[in-house]
Amino acid sequence: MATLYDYALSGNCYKVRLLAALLEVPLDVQAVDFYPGRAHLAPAFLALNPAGTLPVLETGESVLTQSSAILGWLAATQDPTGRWLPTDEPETLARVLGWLAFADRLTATVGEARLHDMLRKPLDIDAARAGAKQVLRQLETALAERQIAGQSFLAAPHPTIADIACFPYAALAPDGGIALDPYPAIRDWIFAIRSLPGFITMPGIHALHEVLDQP
Amino acid sequence: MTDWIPVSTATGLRRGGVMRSFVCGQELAIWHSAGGAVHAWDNRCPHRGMRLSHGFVRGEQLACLYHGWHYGADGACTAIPAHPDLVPPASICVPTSPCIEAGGFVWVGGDPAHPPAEIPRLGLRSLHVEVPLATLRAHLGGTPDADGLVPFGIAAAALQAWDDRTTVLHLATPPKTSTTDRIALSRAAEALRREVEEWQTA
Ligand SMILES: N[C@@H](CCC(=O)N[C@@H](CS)C(=O)NCC(=O)O)C(=O)O
Ligand code: FES
Repeated sequence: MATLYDYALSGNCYKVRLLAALLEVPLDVQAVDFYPGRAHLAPAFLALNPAGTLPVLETGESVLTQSSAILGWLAATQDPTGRWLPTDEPETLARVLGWLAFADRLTATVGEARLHDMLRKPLDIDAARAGAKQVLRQLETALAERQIAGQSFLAAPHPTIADIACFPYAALAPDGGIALDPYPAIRDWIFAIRSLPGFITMPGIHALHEVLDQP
Repeated sequence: MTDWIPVSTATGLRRGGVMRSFVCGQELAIWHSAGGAVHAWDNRCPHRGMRLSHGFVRGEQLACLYHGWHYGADGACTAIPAHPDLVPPASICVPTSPCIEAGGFVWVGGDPAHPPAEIPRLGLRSLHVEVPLATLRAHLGGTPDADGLVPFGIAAAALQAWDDRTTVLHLATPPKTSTTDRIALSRAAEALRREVEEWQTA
């Protein structure tokens, strides 16, 4: 079983937990005290990942860093259907890779605004929110066009790792003081992802109440 | 002129969905029941004031996320989960506004005896534009019809003042418009937004 070095409030770590849950792949989850302990900068952790970033996945054969790379490894090794990373469809694959790069822009803007508001990270919050608006508008436009074409997901007629990579920081935007009211297509896409069988939550991202049994 | 204010395209709020909106400065929860009815309520739970737009739709009822109180189509409380045997008193009731789906849009606040025209249209998308309504209306040009709609290419544009600084541009097309033309209209709307926002900050 692969070991995930994890921080419960990290959207990037959640991406890995979410895809593993959707693929029904068990992970050995080791909590790292990112805040307030800063354990990701302690010598023991830096020996594992000199970059000092979470998530880290130990597969038994190698140590993987960067959430998008880990999503790619999970999809390539643990998804017999090949749908989550469609390597045999070059157009779709290219779209997926484009969205993996885009996901880092969400982390750098929405994610930073959230770290400012939740963990008091010192940064220019106005710049972070202005950047977030540009990135969320791009996501909204792309998803609106997908809807116009009758599609619910970013890169294919079914969910791929592109959706998993972009989902957490879009859904967590309110934690960074960024309202999602201006983004109706993002709202529908968030609903579609929360509806996936096997979906799991993290703090700030809830399960669907509509589908739970009446109490 | 009509008193109906557009708050969404008809397809912009899925069945079973709930969202927040602002009409004349008032914060509303707009929700779409499983059976297809649309509702506009004060966005405040009578229990402890939680935003009802964070709640969830169960059939023809809206439930509050906080303690799960349920409210029926008329806004009256129907169930309090912590007291399953209690019949909620009629005084527990969410204030409601008229809300109707017509002509490809969802409208709030007008006279139900005079609904907007039933012209078949397909919702395209809604864009938040960070300029006041009068600015966007001037940029769009055209003569508003009886429901306040102006043409945007072959689409119809309905404008909602979200607040003093932001206007929502709701767009709907004739039903048989091709996907290519609909995407082109969506991009034209993006271009218009960029232009009018830049024009304002220039
Ligand atoms: N691009 C990386 C970013 C990972 C990242 O920034 N992780 C944060 C936690 S969410 C981190 O470890 N930050 C270390 C630091 O800021 O010192 C990924 O997607 O995995
Ligand atoms: S605040 Fe709505 S049920 Fe308690």
